[in-house]
Amino acid sequence: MTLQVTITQGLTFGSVYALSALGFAILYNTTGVFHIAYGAFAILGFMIAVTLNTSESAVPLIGSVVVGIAAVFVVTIVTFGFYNLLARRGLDRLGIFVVSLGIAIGTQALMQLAFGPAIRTFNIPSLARVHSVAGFPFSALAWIAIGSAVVIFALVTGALRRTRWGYRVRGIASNPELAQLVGTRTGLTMTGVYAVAAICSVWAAVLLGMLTTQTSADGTNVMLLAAIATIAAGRGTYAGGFLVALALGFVQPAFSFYISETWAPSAVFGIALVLLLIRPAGLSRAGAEAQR
Amino acid sequence: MIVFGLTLVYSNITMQLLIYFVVALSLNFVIGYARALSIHHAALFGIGAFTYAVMAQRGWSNDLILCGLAAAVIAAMVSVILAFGSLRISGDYFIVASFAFQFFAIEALFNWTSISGGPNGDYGLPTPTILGLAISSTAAYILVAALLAVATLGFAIWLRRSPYGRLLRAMGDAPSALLTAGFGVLRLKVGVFGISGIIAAVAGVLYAAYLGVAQTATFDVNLAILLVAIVVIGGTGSAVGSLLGAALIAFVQPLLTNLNLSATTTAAVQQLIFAALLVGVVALLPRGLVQLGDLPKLVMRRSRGGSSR
Repeated sequence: MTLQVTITQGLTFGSVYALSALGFAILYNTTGVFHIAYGAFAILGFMIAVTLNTSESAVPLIGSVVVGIAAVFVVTIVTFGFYNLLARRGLDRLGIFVVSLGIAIGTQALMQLAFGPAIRTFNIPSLARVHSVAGFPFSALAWIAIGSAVVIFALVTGALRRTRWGYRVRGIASNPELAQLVGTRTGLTMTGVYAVAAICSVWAAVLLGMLTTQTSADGTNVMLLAAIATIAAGRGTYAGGFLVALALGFVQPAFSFYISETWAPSAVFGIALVLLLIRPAGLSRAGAEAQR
Repeated sequence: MIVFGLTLVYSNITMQLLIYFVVALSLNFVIGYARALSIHHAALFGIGAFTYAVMAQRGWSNDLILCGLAAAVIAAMVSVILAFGSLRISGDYFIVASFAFQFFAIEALFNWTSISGGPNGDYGLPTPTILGLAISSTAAYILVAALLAVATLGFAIWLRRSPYGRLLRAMGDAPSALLTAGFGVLRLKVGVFGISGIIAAVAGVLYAAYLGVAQTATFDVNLAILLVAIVVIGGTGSAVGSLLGAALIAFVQPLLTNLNLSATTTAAVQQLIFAALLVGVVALLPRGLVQLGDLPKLVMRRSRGGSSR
């Protein structure tokens, strides 16, 4: 592996992780629920898309991804409705986390039964073809991953900052009771939040499925990287989470390049663990202040 | 083959029940007392298993007591580091750190092939001994596991009644009040994390010795979640709850095996059952299955209240 390949891979995987982290962050920041089933739902969307997009079914790629996103959107709405019901009945945060854990392993098991344990991937040779740009080997897929992450991030953060929906989302995130009192249409606003989360998570899982392979059991990995980025950046900062996730994408190829390919996967989690322990309030000042 | 009047299948179930009971009870100390949802317990259990595998395979020792002591020292060191970490982070943040440690430890063990044997694991482990006596029969394993379970249960009962246990409970429920009263949370957290890790690692030593194999895949995040499920389904902070949860695990698997499904389907169905139980129990019985024990009292109280009206 050369330095150029390391940088290209870091950028590509980092963008995918950043996209996934954005979806997790918007859910976590707005609802306060540590939605551990996030990764399993993302893989569910990927599995639906990859199953629909076969040569026999002839469903176009975009169509199959849209169906996957729609399915995850519906499942997310139902799940958060269930969390809200339990919270109204007095279940604490730890209890809701455990329910989310149950939903995550249940979804994983259902996927194992429905789609089997086999490794799945989107095999699109035209997207995998590599072109050199100033010595850096970029595939069309890498451009799609980086480009879509930047565009979706800009659209979501722009909407959060400048639209009425964004004001409402931020209002619900900082004080849900007050937001309701002043007449915020919580249901409608949250529907948008669930839609953003579904788009980010499923699209990230689909990109990962194009870049590498995925199995029904890979959801925990997806969730954990997204959660680490969100928390390490500091709650409330989307740009910080995006950047931390991007950096996490660099850890594995950089570790493979400079130190050892064998130890690269454990390095990601080791660095994340150290990051969480030494800077629990988050890396960015804004995140740390929001946390306070 | 008959062991203690049990067939081999039931001997395996008994052994699994005892080991899972010990590990779940040790996890319950952290979840039930410190109120920290520790996901990395499977890694500590695995550290114990690989300590035995390495010591026995390299001919250093296959004595369960010596291997248990070595595993206890390693697990205690790891647990103390994590306890220090838990002072800086709590709630969701601790859960993520705990998840990260679970992934890190198992990935690191997997790649450290001279210790873990890589994907194949360490297999063909020699028969263990205790003070020179060979543990060669299933009955002997069950006896050792039962002794470990009784000792852990005895400790849990002592902990529940002791002033130390009350302090631990206070630390979980109201840490600020405890600090105001002049008690240091650090000592308590280090203590409960250390004890819990040591017990899990010792159980891991016995588990690897019984199976004669130690593979990293056994101690992955699925087992970690399963252990949390055992504790929560049974009832946090309750020894009876841990026993109920462990019994569910131990009995569901052989029952499913009788359905002649493939190994993958059996694992998925088992996971689905536990997921349904986890969600159902938390939603309907927040104190776990042990709460069912209160039902007759509740019904009687209600019926008495009804008749007196």
